[in-house]
Amino acid sequence: MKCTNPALGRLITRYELGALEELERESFVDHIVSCEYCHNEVYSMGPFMRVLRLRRVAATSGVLSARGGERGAVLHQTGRVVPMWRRTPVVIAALLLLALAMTTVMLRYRTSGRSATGALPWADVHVPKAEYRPADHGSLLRGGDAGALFERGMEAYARDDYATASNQLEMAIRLRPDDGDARFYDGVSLLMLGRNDEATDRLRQAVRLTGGARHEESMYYLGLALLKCDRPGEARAELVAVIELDGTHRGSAERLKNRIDTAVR
Amino acid sequence: MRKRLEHLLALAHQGDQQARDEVFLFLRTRFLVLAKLRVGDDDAEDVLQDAMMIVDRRFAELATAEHLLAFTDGVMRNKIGNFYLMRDSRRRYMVSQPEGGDPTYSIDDELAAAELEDVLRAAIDRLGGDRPRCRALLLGLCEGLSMEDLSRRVGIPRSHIDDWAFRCRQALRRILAKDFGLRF
Repeated sequence: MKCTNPALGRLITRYELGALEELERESFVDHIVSCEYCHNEVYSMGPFMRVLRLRRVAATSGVLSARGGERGAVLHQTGRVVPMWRRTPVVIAALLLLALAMTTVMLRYRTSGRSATGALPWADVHVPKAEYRPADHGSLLRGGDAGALFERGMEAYARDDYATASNQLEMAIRLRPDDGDARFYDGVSLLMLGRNDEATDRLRQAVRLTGGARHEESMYYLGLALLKCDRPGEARAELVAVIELDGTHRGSAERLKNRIDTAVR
Repeated sequence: MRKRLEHLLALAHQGDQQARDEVFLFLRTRFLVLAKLRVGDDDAEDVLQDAMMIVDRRFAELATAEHLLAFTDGVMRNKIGNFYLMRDSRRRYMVSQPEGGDPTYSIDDELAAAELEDVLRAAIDRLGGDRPRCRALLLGLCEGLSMEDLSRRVGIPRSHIDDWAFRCRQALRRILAKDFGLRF
């Protein structure tokens, strides 16, 4: 198990000791709701960090807000911390970062092969909805909660509610990490939502875990996802592999590969 | 996910049964993983079921996602402690939170609530033996030092404090497990 967002996970110690500013604390709470690793860590050290937190509360008492006392292993007070936005060095650093970010974006636009209108050449590439037939998945036994979550996810997928589908399928994957079909449909759902980077990760996992027709399909959709991420070289490699498999998606893969070759020339 | 959970909680508190089911499915998914890590696959389901019954009874009091997780953490800690007690036949102490709906939790092994601080103090001292900066950092946070003061005292750039704090925390955890035999 790993932290899903180390940039936020690193705040854990100050969170447990009640030393985060309000915005940081909200961000960390958002994170802990979805990150099993950090939740497990907070749980594990709960009694000990509580002792330290109470020590901190006692040390800073008298300047706390009137929000009441300790309420549990996760909730805590923010303590006396000067709001970050009021610190001059932080403001200067923020302005410098903004300038750097704008420069990076401008450079990226110049080198990404955008057209004169500024649009990516792959923006109009159509992502077809991958078909789902419940009977196809009868051979994979999904008992208990994983099965229920998968079925709920696919019900949402069938009615084009991709956000709900992805949410349910993610939970199914946590309970059954080797479920390639769940990863595939989650990847397609993310692609339909325009969350292309996440879709790429998910579909890569599906390629690794699936076989036969699903494997070919996963590779094809991975190619689509990579294209949507403006990574035509990697997309082409996946599409070539799909063509070599000579399966259902061969024709579509050939057309897309030809389009990449034309655009790159 | 937090926004979705808060939304489902709000609906559940208004009587939406499907929303309530989804909240409990989230809790089951999250805490089953935790239970399996602590009590093993065979007993995790039983421990989880016991905990969910208590959460179900107190559900009306749990307004936010954070409170829901905090309360369920406490209930799980209690149930897992009871599990260890029954399995190992050791003496335990129950520590009650102040009134106001907070959960009780048990501390397993021979550790009583009153000894917890002594163990922690000893562990931090031991940490200081190998990593004096870690000790200074943790104690500085406990004293309520600002990030700037902490950076000056410990001699770490402010931008590195969180990474250092995390590593020191993990080192403390290892000492508690290895040198004091505490079960996580």
